Amino acid sequence: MKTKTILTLAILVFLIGCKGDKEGYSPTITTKDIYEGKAALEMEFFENAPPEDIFEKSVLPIGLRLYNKGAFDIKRGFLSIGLEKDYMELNDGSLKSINDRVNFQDSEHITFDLKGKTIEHPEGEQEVITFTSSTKDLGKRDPQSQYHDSWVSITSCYTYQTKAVETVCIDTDVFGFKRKAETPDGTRACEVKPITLSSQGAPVAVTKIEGEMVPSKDNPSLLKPRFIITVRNIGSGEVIKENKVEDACSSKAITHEEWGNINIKAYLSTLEEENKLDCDIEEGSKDDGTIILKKKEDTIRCIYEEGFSDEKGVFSSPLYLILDYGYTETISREVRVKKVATH
Amino acid sequence: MRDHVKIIRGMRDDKAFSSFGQDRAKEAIKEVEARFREELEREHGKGWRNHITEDRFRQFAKEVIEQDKEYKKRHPTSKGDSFHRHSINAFDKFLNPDKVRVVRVGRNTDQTRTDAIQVNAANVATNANKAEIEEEQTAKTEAETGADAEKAEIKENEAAETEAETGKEKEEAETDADKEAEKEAKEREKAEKAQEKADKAAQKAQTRRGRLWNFLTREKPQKEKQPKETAPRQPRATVTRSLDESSGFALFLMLLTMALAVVDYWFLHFGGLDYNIYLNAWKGGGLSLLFMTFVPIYTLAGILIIELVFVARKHNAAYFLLAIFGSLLAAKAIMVSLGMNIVPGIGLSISVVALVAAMLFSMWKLMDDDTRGHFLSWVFYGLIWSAILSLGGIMSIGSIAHLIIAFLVWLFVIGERDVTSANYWVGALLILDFFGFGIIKAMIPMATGSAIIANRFVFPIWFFFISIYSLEFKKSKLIKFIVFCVIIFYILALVDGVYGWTNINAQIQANPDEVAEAKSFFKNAFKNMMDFPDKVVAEYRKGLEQATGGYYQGRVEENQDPRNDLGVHLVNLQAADKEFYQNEEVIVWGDLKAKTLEDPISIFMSCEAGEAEGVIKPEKLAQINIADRHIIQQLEQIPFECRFAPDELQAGTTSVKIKAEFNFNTLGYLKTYFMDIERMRALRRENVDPLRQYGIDKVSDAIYTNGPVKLGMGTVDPPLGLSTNSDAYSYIGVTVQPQWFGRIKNITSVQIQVPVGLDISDPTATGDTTYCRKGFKMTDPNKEGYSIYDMEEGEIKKTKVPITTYKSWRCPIKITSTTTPDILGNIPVATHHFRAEVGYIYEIEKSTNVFVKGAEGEERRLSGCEITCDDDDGCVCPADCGVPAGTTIGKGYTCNNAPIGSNTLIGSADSFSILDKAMSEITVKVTLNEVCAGIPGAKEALEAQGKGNDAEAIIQACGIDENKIDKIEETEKEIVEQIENSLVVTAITMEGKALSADNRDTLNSKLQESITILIKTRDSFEKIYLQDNIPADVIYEDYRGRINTAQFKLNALIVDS
Repeated sequence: MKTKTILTLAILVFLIGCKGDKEGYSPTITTKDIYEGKAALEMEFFENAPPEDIFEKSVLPIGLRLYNKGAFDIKRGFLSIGLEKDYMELNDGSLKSINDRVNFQDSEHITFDLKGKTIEHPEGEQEVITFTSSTKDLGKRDPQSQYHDSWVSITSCYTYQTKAVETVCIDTDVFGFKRKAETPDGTRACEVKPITLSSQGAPVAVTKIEGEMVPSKDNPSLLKPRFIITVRNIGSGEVIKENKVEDACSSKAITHEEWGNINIKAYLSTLEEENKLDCDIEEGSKDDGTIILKKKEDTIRCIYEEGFSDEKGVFSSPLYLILDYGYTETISREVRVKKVATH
Repeated sequence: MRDHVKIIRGMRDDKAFSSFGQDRAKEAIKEVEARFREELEREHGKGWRNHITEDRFRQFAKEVIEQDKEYKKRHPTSKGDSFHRHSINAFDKFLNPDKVRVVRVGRNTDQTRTDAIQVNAANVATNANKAEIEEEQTAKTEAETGADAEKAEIKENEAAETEAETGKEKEEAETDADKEAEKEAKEREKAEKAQEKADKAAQKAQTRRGRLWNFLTREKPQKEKQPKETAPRQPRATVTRSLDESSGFALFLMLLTMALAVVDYWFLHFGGLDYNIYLNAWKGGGLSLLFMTFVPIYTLAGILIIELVFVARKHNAAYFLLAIFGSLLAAKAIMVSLGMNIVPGIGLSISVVALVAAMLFSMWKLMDDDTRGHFLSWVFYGLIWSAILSLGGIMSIGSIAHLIIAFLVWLFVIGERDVTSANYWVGALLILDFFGFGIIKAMIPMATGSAIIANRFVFPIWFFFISIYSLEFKKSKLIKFIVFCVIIFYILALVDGVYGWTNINAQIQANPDEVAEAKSFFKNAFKNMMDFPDKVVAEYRKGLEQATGGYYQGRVEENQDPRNDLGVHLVNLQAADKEFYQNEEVIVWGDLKAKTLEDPISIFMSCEAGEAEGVIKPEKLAQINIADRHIIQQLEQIPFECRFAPDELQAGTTSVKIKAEFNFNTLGYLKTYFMDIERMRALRRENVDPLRQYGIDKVSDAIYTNGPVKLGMGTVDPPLGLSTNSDAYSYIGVTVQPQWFGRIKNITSVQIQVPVGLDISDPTATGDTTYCRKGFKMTDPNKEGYSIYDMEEGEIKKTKVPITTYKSWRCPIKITSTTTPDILGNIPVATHHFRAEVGYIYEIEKSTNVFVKGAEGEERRLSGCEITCDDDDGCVCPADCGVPAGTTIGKGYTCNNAPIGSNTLIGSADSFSILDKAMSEITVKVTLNEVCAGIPGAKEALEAQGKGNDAEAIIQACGIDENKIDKIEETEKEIVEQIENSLVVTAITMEGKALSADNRDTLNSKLQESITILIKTRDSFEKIYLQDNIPADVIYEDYRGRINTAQFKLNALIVDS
């Protein structure tokens, strides 16, 4: 009981005082709401911009609202503007935004920054972007046509992060030899069992953590906690490799290894490097793991190579999981370009 | 329903003769039958059998009872013999079936013999009367020793009779038996067994009760069927045994259907029939299409004919229908099988229309509700069988096995219910078995694991049906047990399996996001269901494309504004009057509306009505010379008229066709998408639709502009994956198809536009650049991002015109890796368009009917030499025809083929036959004239020619002198005219032709013969005018002169030769 109380207090102290190099990550009790939900960047067109119908040779207004409803800040996100070039062209210099967080990278791409939810801004930051496009002469392209159904699409590509922290049970008394010795009634401080999670304020979520204690090959009294972590893309977009965000919003090739690619880091007890878990296949190093989602889901095994002596008994410890990835999503609207009747 | 059947049914519960023993009942039946027959024969003679009705029998029974009463009044002390009393009592029972107690004739007790039997049969088990137990035991013994159950019943009846007759003794015996029954429980058990036997015997006796009527009406004894609610309670053991016995077939079928499922799984691998077979066969055309089309039609026809044969018993109209429909169908069948054109105009559509019309008429008018339902069930069942057979349902052992099972199940359902139910049930099951699983499979995504529902091996439907149906109709414990086991098996298999509900439920509880996924499953299922027709259509299109070597679809651009109706339209077409006289001008008018947004339209109009060609006004619309034609720059509406000169149209209703020929262009485009191939593969690998991922929810067909031609386009399914490391290949296909009523008369240009970077050039070693298999030339390498290619003139000329179906072209496209970046641009999905423009001459056609009335007594003036004369008054020919201008020809001939001597276009043989005919007629008329004039020997001469009747008729007509003179003069006139118009004209006309030597000789001989006839005619005229009562006048002189002239002309012809 005493150990448990001390551990809990230590965790609380850690959580409250944890700032420094992990900027923005302050999972205190009061931030619980922030780390919920599956949304990240949300985009929506204005109700009538672009409009459903527009005449040829006129200006097509396009209005876009961006919300970062996730718990992570988006830095240098990309918006790719898809237009049918035969019928419309983007007007340079027409880009405007309320918070001035956007820029035209080129005639088809916009870059933006948008902060996520915080205690101060529980809804996350939002930005309103407007720009215009000109519709071309329909009579030139399709002289007999009375209209042309075109579309405007906006594809967003940005890096995002999921952070999950869950208290896991470390049980070095695998076979229960010391159970009765420690507690008269034979109960334990905690029990190793699968933990199910729903969302962590990001479109990619850790949905399940299953812990197990693996005795070391060389020293059977040393037990290595190992966790099978299930990760799932619960958002409506697609996951891409963290460093392929810009490419995703272009026409560049993206291989299947880069689709659904998530980098995972796991820490036990504290976010110190020494407490980092090894999440790749190679033994002995503390490498990040890579998850390739298949049908939006995948699992990975992370092991704490240092292990714990079986003398440690049973105790709880926080497990930190940090998932880095890119995310892409598209919205579109159909626009009918009509010919101006001349007779 | 026939009356005697009603009577028999009414007699089912009749207990009239239940009080009789076996032999005595027979005697009674015979006697009653004999008396009843005597009565009827006396009344109706030989046709007495037709008057057997229940009412008549009631009347007869009443008469017998009345006679009996009369007898009693006269002989109050007489009790009559036992047989007589029973007969009277039986009749009374028949007339008053609800009467429980009948006053016995000449007896004091209330208990009738009949009642005694009933009480005995119903209560013997509970009645401990010793005497009755003994009776039952007696019956039992008899039954066990193999005696007929009827005998037991007779015995029982006799025992009851004896008992009833000794009522007092019976009461005493009952008291004793009650006491004994309390003591002897074992004996009671025996009594119960005896009850079973007695009930059985009573049941058989009950069956015999309608025997009298059966006998009288010569109907076969019918199996007794008690309604459920009134059926007497049967001993349990007996019921169970009998039902188990009747469940044998059901159990056999259950075994067989289960075996079928197992055999299917291990050996046959029967997978039903795919609708694609139908589509492929349809696309392939030929014999399979013919087979598929005709098998269902003839199946339906067969069913209809059989049904009509039955219906015809009641409705004579069915014979009429059968005759028309049958002959039409037979003609069609012969035409199809032998390739003969028996009746012009009978096509498949006519046969189908005749079939459907005959079906609707017979169902509506000739069939009652029962028959209609029965007929429809056969139609349903027949169509399914024919569909299965025509789709190759007998081509595999698996499907044959399924069809055999279906047939057995059909028999089973008939046994339990009726043919109609069997048709519907088995028809529905056949659909499910042969097509249903495939359809379910297409609707349910395989990835979800729910595909198990569409797995025929998991759900053997025939076994399920037999099990459940047997459960409904058979109360067998074994069947119940089997069905129970099956249900438990499936519950365990499905609910607790890998995809079981418990598992799913656990996941849902564990992760709320799974709820959304579960929802999406149903959403997807619904979407698939909604998309299914589109999938079928898409599949059809794909198949069509493959089967025909290219047919590309397209969708016409929606017309935003009715005023923007592109192309040329003929509107407001109507006749100027409701009806026209034949000798007046027929006018049809209308408006020509034309609109173009691009090139000007040049118009040429024409109109026709059958063989007659009309004149279009204003003339500018009917200029044959292209340079002179009317040009429409953008939009115009021009009123026009189509005029037919008087007598140009035949009398009656005529369809006037207005045609407008114009040049027009149709443009189309096909939107397509390009994407990096790696990205596309990665997304597809994750089961993500690449286009949907980038906000493109639908891939539209090619869009083409309004106009008379459909312009379809096709390419590979988008997106097309491109790579900077390797070349990619695609194609562009174009199809033109007339879609308005009319045809494409000519193709003037075909242009395709592909985005720059997409290459349609042919691989060549010579260095010459050709495009699309040398069919196109590049006219502009880069016009606003598109390369323009026009079809070579030679290629256009190769096109077979007019196009009434469709024509396709296809060009392969190569996209080199170096051009990939330009095509893809800098966004994930690049959108480009293929464009096509086709120029053509189109001919539209619109028609309206005009009614032309023939002018009485006036010959129609024909406007052409080949127009058939339809006027009863004859027709007048125009110039430049076979016959001279102004010649009148008879109805049914044209001016070129009329059998008239002056017709220069008819052959020598026809001319000779005209000469022969004229000579023969002249000879007959001359003789008739002589008969009329009373020249001696003329009548006999005519009779010798076999024209005795004509001689009598002419004598009759020439009876009065005034009539005689008129008649003679009239005939003479006819003779002279015939000489001039037939003999002379024909001979002269023939002289103008280049005759062969043989024909020349023949003509000379005919001329000699004609001259001889002329001489005889002139002599005959002289003889007639030498008669006293016939004055020679000026006319005679004139006729003689004309005959002389004719003779001179004929002589001249001979001299010439």
